[in-house]
Amino acid sequence: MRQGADPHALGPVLADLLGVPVELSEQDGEALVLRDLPSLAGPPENPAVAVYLSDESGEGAQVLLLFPLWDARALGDLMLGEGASSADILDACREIGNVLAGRFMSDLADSVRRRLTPTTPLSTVDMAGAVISSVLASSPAGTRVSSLGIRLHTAECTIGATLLILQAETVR
Amino acid sequence: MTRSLPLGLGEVRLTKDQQDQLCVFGLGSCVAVFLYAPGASAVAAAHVVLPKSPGTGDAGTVEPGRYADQAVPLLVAEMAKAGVLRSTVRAAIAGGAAVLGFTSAIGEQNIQAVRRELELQHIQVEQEDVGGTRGRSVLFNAIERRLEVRVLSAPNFNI
Repeated sequence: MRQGADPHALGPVLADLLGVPVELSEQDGEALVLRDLPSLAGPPENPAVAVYLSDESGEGAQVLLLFPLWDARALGDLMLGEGASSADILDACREIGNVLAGRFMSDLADSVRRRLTPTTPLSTVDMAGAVISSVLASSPAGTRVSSLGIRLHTAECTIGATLLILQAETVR
Repeated sequence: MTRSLPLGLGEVRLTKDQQDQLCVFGLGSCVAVFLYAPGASAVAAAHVVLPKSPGTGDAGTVEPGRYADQAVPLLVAEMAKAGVLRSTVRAAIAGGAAVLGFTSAIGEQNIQAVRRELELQHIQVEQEDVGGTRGRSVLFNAIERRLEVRVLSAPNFNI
């Protein structure tokens, strides 16, 4: 998919963090036409918990993690136990975003020999397509979009998420 | 029976079928533009992503609705081709939200660019729902010529 940073390295990172088996499946955004990109995480109108980080320059690498609402709740059960508050679940999602973005940007920084420091995560609960299209619209021209499907296999269920990685030409 | 015609990023559509409903699902900083006219069955729509095209080299883009400065004139031309008298054309616009704080600038720029282009074309904005911090889905019914906006209901914000 790309030289340097391998997003598949994020699978073991997530498995260690959560203590469950993790499956990653890759879909290269370049294979999709622009008009379909907001559907990368499912129907664009569906509500999702979104966590966004970029490198501090704001113009290099960006990471967007999306959990459908049900999956975010299941993640809360897994990480915090049943009955966790919305605020705590959002914190847990932000923490996962932080860990994934931190690892990815560290690998990417090594490969492009540039310093890449992730920002503090921004988060929201909104329509998945609204978040994706807004991030795309704010990205520099020529940004490459890659998409990873994440499946966390717990004893009770499978939790799904989508990770979008956006790389400007300057970090490829 | 109503037929939904969804528009993806940068897409343009025109319909003359009054059973059609032009839709943009999950609109964030982008702006949906609908042109219609009293008494005419034609409705044209674009899903605008950015305010301004980078240059003439991009004029042949596969997503002609991507930029406000290209999308609005194109919609006007499509309505004219459909036989709609230009002086009767009206607009409805929606979107331009800041769903994550940093996207506020692009949403506002999109709103301003669409308004400016419509003004240049002497088209009055009759219906609008723009700005704010929430994503929207917007639907435009060809029979009623009315903009319908959906946002997530409150329970959906509780994880």
